[in-house]
Amino acid sequence: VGAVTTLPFRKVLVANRGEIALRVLRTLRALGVRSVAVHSEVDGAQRHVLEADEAVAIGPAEPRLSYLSVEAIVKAAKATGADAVHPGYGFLSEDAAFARALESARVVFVGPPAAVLEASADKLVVKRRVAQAGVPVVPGPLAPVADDRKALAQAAKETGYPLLVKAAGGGGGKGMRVVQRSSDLAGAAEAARREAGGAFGKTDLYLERLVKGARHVEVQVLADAQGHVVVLGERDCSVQRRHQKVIEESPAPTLSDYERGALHEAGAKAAAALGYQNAGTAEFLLAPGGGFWFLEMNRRLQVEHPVTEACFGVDLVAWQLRIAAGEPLPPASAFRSRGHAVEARLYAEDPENGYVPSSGTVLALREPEGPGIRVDSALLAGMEVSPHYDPLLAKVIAHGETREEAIRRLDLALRETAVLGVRTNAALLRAVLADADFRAGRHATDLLDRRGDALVAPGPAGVEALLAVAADELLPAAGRVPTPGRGPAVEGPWLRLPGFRLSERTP
Amino acid sequence: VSGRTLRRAYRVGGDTVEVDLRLEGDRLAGTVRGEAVEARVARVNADTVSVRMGGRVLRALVARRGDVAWVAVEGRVLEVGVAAAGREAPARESAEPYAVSPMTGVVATVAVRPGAEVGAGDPLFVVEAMKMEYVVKAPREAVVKEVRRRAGERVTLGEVVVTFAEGP
Repeated sequence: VGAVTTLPFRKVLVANRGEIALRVLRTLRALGVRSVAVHSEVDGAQRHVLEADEAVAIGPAEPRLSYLSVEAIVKAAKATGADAVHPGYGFLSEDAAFARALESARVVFVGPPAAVLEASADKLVVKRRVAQAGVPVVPGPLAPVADDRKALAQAAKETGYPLLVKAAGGGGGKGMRVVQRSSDLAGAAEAARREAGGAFGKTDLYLERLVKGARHVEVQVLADAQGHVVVLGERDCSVQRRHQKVIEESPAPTLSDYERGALHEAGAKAAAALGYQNAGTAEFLLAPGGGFWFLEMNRRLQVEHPVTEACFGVDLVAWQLRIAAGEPLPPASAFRSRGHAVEARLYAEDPENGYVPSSGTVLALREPEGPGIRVDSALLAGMEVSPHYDPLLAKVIAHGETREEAIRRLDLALRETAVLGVRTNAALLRAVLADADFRAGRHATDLLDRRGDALVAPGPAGVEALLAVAADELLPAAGRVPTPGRGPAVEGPWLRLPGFRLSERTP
Repeated sequence: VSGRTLRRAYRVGGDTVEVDLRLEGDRLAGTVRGEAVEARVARVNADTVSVRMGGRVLRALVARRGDVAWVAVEGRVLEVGVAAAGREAPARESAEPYAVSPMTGVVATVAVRPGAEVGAGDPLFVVEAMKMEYVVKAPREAVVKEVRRRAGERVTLGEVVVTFAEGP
């Protein structure tokens, strides 16, 4: 699906860091649009800065004062004369005030218009509007619970246990509590209210049933300013730990054609009900006994968008830019999915030690390549992995004709992937790919919680690895060819050519 | 070309592995854990070594930081303590004049006050999230300047919790 018109943007600022900033830069480069990177004090040597056309320092390491600062980023956009800002995911990507501030500064926000973000900021309002459009939503009252014990108990009874207490203005797991029994309800609600008030300045809570054994599936939509909504398939993101996705794939395994069709229709309806524009994702829970419920709308590019791009052969960032520029979408028939794609997220964290985030200097690095393999990465040998930011280092995506082929390619790719100096979850990713439930596609979101410990248990150290360490100690360093008998070893390209000598005597 | 020998007690996880090897040309031979081994080895580039053993050829990525060698073989990464006997790998040093929260959560306890002198590895504060506790330790010897959060308060990923006074 190609571009018809030329983009009206000459320069676009990328308001993010890490792999997603690099991902957006790649599209800007392909489209011949100049790019501006922004960075905090500690990020000046990160790859997204090195690969942009221009770079602006926007503040200290603390996200609140740099990547989350509306003022600093709008100022950078104005100062560099950027026509548009791509927010990536996280940070300010769904921030209505940010979109509004850019609008006022006459800079295009590459995402939904500020009015759409404002109208969909309250999750409960979103849920109600989607339900009114005839889309099934996760069971629970569609009104905020009053701040009194009796009303709370009544709402919980309606919802059924176990349940989730959620903050209407929430996100990222903040202001959310799992409640197993009625005796824990009041305490959980109070804690969620306090947390939501602190984080979002809004204390509205609502209740939702906790669906056990559910899978997480989501529908990718593109919606243009002319009111067309196109569905680009679905993704299954059921391999999670602590509500953080780890492995995602498209299409979702084990869905019947009928279920898939119904899910896509529901996703399109949800987007239409919200007057949505740009790329977005409708998240659903797939119940163990069949049937699905709308969960929430993600109003940004998702981390896992590459699996959709691999199957549909599209560039979603390019579409985001075109939609933001006012270009209409082609008909749905222009988008077709082929084969299967699986993505693994490489995190700087230690699965053997409770998934604690790790930081430090990357000492050495190897990234995979091969047919059907894509790597979205911010890694650079010598780079500093900072504890200030999200621990996602890279994503490895494999595409194949079948799910089996995609999984096999991903496994081989991960075998070729290595990051030294910072602990990662690489071994866990391969263990999940080898898991019988995952292979059969019958895993649910609790896979890692149930079996994580068994999956991360290390085996004994192989003798080859120890021999490699010994060889590294004993072998001469690279670039130094031993020169027996004659003077000191000199570094230089000529000496890497065996048998080639300029003026040295043959020993 | 004369050979080079290596006798070490490598530390992997909680184990100690005795290594007694000799390199002659590309032939690396000797014992690992008391068992005889023989391989052909070569340096592919600055951080890659190939190990050919019993018909199998493996390429290992190897890098050192202090007395710890990191090695990756077929997707598996090991941290190997390579210090000569009696020497311990130093704790990871950080020159940053502050300590940040490694995750979003709640400060469970704070172990230091402004003015406190801490040594490398001393606990500074504990962050709790998702039923998991994480102890943040001093990256080096330092004097605590500020403590910005109290026990029970929320912290976000990357938030500065403790700052250190400038200078040594």
